[in-house]
Amino acid sequence: MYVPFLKYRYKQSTGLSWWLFMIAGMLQCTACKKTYTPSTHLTNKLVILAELTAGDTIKIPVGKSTLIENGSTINFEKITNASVHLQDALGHFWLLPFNASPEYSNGPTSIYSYPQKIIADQTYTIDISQPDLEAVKATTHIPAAFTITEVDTLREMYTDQPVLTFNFTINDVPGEEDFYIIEALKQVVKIYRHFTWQNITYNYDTPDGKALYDRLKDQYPLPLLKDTIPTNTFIRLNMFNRDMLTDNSAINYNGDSFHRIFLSDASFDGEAYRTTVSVNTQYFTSDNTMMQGSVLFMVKSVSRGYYDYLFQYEKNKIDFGTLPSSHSVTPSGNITNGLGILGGVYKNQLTYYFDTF
Amino acid sequence: MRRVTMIAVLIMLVATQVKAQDTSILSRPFHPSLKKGSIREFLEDLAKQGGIDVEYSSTFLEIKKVITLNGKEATVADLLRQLLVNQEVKAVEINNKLIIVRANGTSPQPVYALYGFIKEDGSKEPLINATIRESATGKGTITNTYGYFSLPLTAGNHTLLVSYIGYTTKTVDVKLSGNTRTDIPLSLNGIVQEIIVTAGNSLKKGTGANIRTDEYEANNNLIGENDPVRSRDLQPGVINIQESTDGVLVRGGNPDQNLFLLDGNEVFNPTHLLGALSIVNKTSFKSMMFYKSDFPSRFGGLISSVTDVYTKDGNMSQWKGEANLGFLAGSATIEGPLIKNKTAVMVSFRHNWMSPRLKLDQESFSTRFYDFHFKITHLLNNNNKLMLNIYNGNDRISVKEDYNNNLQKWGNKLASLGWNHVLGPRSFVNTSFNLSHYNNLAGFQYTIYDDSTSFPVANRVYSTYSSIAHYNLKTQFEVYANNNIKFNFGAKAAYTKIKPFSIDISKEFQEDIGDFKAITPLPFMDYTLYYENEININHRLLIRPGIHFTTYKFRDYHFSSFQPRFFAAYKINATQQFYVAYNKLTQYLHLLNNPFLGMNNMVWVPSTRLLKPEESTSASVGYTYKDKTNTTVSAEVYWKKMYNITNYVDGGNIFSNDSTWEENILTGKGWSYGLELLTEKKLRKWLFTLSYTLSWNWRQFDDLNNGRKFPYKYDRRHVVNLAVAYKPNKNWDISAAGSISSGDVFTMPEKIYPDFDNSQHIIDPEDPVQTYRFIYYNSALNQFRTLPYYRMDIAANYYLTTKKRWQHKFTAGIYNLLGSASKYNYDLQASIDGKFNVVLSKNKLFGVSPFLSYTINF
Repeated sequence: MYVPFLKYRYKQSTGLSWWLFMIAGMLQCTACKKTYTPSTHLTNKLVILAELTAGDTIKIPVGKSTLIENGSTINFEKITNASVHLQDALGHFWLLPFNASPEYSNGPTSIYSYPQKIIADQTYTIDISQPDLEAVKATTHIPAAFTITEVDTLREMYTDQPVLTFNFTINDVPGEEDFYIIEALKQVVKIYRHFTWQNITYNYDTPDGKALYDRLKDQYPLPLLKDTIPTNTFIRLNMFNRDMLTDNSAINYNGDSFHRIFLSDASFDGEAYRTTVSVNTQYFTSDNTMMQGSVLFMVKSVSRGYYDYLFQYEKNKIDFGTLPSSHSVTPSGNITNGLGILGGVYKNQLTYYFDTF
Repeated sequence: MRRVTMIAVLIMLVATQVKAQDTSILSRPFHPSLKKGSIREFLEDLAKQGGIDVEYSSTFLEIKKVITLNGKEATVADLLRQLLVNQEVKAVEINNKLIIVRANGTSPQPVYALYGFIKEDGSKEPLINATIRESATGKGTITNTYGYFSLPLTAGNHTLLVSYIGYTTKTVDVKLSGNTRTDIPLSLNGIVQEIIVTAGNSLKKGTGANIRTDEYEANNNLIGENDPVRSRDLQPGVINIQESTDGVLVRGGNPDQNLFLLDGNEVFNPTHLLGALSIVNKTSFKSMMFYKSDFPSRFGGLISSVTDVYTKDGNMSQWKGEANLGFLAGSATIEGPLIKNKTAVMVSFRHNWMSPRLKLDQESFSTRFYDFHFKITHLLNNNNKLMLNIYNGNDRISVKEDYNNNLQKWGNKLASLGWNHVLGPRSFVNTSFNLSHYNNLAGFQYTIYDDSTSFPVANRVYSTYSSIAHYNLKTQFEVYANNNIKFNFGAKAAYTKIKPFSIDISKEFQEDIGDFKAITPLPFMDYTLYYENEININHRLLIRPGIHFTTYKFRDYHFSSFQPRFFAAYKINATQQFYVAYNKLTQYLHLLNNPFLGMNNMVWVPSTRLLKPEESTSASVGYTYKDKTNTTVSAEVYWKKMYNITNYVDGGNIFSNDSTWEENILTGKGWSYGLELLTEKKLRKWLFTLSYTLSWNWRQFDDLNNGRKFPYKYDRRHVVNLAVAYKPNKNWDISAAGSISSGDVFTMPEKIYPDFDNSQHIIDPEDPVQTYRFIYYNSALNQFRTLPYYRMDIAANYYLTTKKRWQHKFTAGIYNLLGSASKYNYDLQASIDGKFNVVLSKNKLFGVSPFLSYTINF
């Protein structure tokens, strides 16, 4: 009788010891944890945010990212010492110098430019190097030329907003899939006031010119003339999507306004396609001289990567502040080793003036 | 064939002239006086010490063979198993003698079926997974979900051990001279359970876990409301995102991949309080099975787990009841006979009240939930039973915050009519018609401000309503063909109709469903056939091959799925077993979570030509150890791969266009692998359960993360659950439950870069933050990990019995003793001075919450 009892006690003790060993072992396993630690070492990257438009001169905005850390400031360091090269598929090669013009000084990026015009249906490659950051490279294709015709406009009210509605036909280029982006901007113009005295033209908006004009104006008939000079500043004009075939329904509700209208030719490849879009006229005119200018209505054929990037970019803008940052859409660019986008564009543009100067 | 039979000991009882109450020779207790010796010496010892006449012949028995006992022999049968191993002999009990004869030395005995139901004594409540086992041979079976069993035995006398967790093990002597119907009643052990010695380490028939729900009050109690389903969460491989609509995640699967059955009827959202509490009312609860590695062929429809919950049928002999009063809710169940031993009814009801505790934690939070359960069971005769089952439960939650408000309403309606029919001594069939309806309304109110004055000018409420109605007719057969083979087969036809996302935009919350815009419903049909064999190759090896076949039709889209299932268990010795399982499963429903709305905004959608059915393939290998000292250990490694699992498209909004909703959903792959350990130790007054999960959980979508794999958001590498109960006497039990786990992974932007329009010198005059515009960038999804999770709950029960039938239970405890978060959320915020802050929010519905509750059984 005694022996089985001893066996029983022995087994019981073994089980408990094993069990305690399990607890200790598992607690040790859980002790080696990492928290809020990225899996890779994070470094800043060069940024390209450029649109190469057929017929326009080369202008490449180049910037740098900022790492996010607790307490880090939202600020972008300018890149003024980059080496920027652009070449086309025919072997033409341009070295783009940094453009120090004051009109670009306020932007978050630096402009590298060259007075060479971009050609439609051509492929361009850009290489940028900078001493502190990894070199980047990107390629884009400028779409082939296309036309828009039969443009009708109508002033009306849409969703309680005054709009100018554009009805027009896109004459799609057959072959590869084309992607269209429609947008409207107001290009701020600078008012250039001048007068001519003894066959010499003087700028009224300079202190000397104004003083001369004030001295002469009562003695001679001296007309003060105004000219508008387009600047590189633009004002965004909101649009309303009137076409159910666009991709905008995946961004927001159709009753809401959009910055850009996204349309692919999947359903009308090679055909004439009639579409409608309305532009909010709220900023067509302004008493503020800083907001006066010409209204540009643009229908752009863009490269696929650029289309996707801007689509995600617009989605991101709409969600900003309403979704946690973890849900934010990160636009996927085409910059190797860097961030941003190099987009190719062929555009048809209509220009309207509504301001009186 | 005889030579092939490695298990040479065929012990058969052919007892004659034995009184029913006598104990058979083989099952008599016996402890040999020697540990090592020849067979002859042991048989002489048996005769001398045990007073048993033993007859044998040395012509077919190697009597000089030396045997060393393993020390585990407690009965005559235990001793003979060791002595006669590899001898082609068998022991026959005749005229109170033990005769050892050649295995083929006697004519074969006819085999009859002992069948019937194992029920609770008095109430006649069928007991699910109760064990019935012949003590001499260890041969046995378990009852099915309706308490039915069929055990093939040879003619003659048999002593059977009948056991069930929480009930007193019963010894039943039967004499078989033909197929015999025996309904066996088992008695409850009483309110306070002593440590139960279960019926030994029987050869596994599957890995489905019969979850005990009465062991750890601390684990199950949510502020005074006992939720039996929470016991499941102690199992390794299960992650319960406490107080979250993401709910339960099993082996790296999505929340929508877990099938929850209430009395056999599918429930699409089995929770109250945004997932904090299950819809199962403790006062009506009977039993729960949980499957995650081995899926019997009758299960299908969802691909990661099955939780199979059964409620009481109703007491057939007397009226009884149970009521519970807690901080969170009050509940009561009454059951009793409408016609004694013929018709029983069970009615259960629960309703919450806004507890002061809840108010204290969440001033802006108000909630209301209730559930009602009605069941009537009618015995047509000994072989036929009808069951009508009705459930209705609803939730309403509103959250009011400074700038936006949320309203959430959801509910389940269930109804089923079932028929149990005993076809004969070896076969049983259950047929049922089931209806399950789930609806969900999510409203989100926001305020529109005047740009010039910053004053609020209007409210807008964006509401969505979706519902799913599921009807099925199914029949399930169980046939015990002979001693070693059982057939399970059946069929199901199901019709499901989804109304996915009706939308309403209004000035105030719309709770009237009629105000919602009608959307074209999405109906589909699916048909199922299944078949499996449970084959006992010998007393050490069981295999269970099976097939589950479904065919699906949604509009012009058809899909068929062959789903092989396989399970095998091998008994190494009396304490250890190995098992393997392989399963393929398919599900036709996808659950989508719209990130654009708050709270529970999940929508079920069907599989389509674009949105393929989800499928999983899994394999696991396990080991179990269970000894007579009440130590159990199990270890299992598993691998699971999932196909066509869903995710919203980046930038997609399924609610914006109901004709193109499929295009906004990405499908991809997921896979998971890991190790799960579970150990239980029972001492006289103590009970410990420890589980540990080591797992890796991955996802891969072609259009996400540049096609690279990324960890699933609940990729918790280590999860440890520990529960301890102490029962010093019959009046008290004290328990504590805790868990520690790795943090979740999450996505956070790691960089910003200049805004595109800003770089083009485009100014948006409507943009209030144009100065701080930037673009977030993250190089990979889910590359950050949160803090580890930990939590602890404690509770104590005091039991008091007054008069004869009144039993009282007083419960006190502290829920979330450490005030732990149930979920960490990290967000990035940019302040007005242009600085970033990484903000950690620790979400929890309940902080440190002391509670009291009172339960009465009458």
